[in-house]
Amino acid sequence: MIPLSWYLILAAGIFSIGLYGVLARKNIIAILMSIELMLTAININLIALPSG
Amino acid sequence: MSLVSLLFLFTAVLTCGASIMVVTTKNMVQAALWLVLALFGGAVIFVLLQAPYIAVIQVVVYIGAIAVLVIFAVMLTRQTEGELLPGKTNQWPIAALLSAALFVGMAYFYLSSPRTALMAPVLDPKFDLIRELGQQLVSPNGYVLPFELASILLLAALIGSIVVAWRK
Repeated sequence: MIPLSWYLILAAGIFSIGLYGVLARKNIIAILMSIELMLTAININLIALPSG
Repeated sequence: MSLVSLLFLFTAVLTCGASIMVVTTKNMVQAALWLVLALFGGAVIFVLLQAPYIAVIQVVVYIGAIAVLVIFAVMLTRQTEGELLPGKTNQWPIAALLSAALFVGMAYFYLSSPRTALMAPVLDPKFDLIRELGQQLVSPNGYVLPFELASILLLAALIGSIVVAWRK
């Protein structure tokens, strides 16, 4: 069984990458894609916390 | 190390790599395709978490709709395929530093804190989660009001986008 913290750290990594994209990119569509990455990270946290 | 752990590590590395490519690639179409790969990695993570319904929703909504929407948006905003765009702002080292600090802080917190007490109640295996979800979404005692509010919000956004794009 995979520990809960692995999922949380993966989600934190994807969220941080998305945050970098939001802060550093100039194109609005690129910022939108970075926000999608952050939303995926949040979803992983949301599913991992009750089932871990 | 079990097979599931190996699968998780492979998917995690793949997803993080694809995410880094999304935020660093200058070609927007390539970035959208990397985004598809990252979202698919998320779907695999959901399968590993024993949430197959969420995984299917991830594939259908995010890969099927959002990614196609992004690709169409890239193509319709007068940027020909393969054109390089102004990449990053001048403050990108600050952004990188901030993101790295956030990640290190969160990872340290997760590894140092004791196991969280957020455990779900164990459900009966015969309990039909999907049926319960559908009934809760339309029952008056459940979530019918937020559900309908979200529908009206989406309809308003649809009409608003048509009005904004309207040419007399």
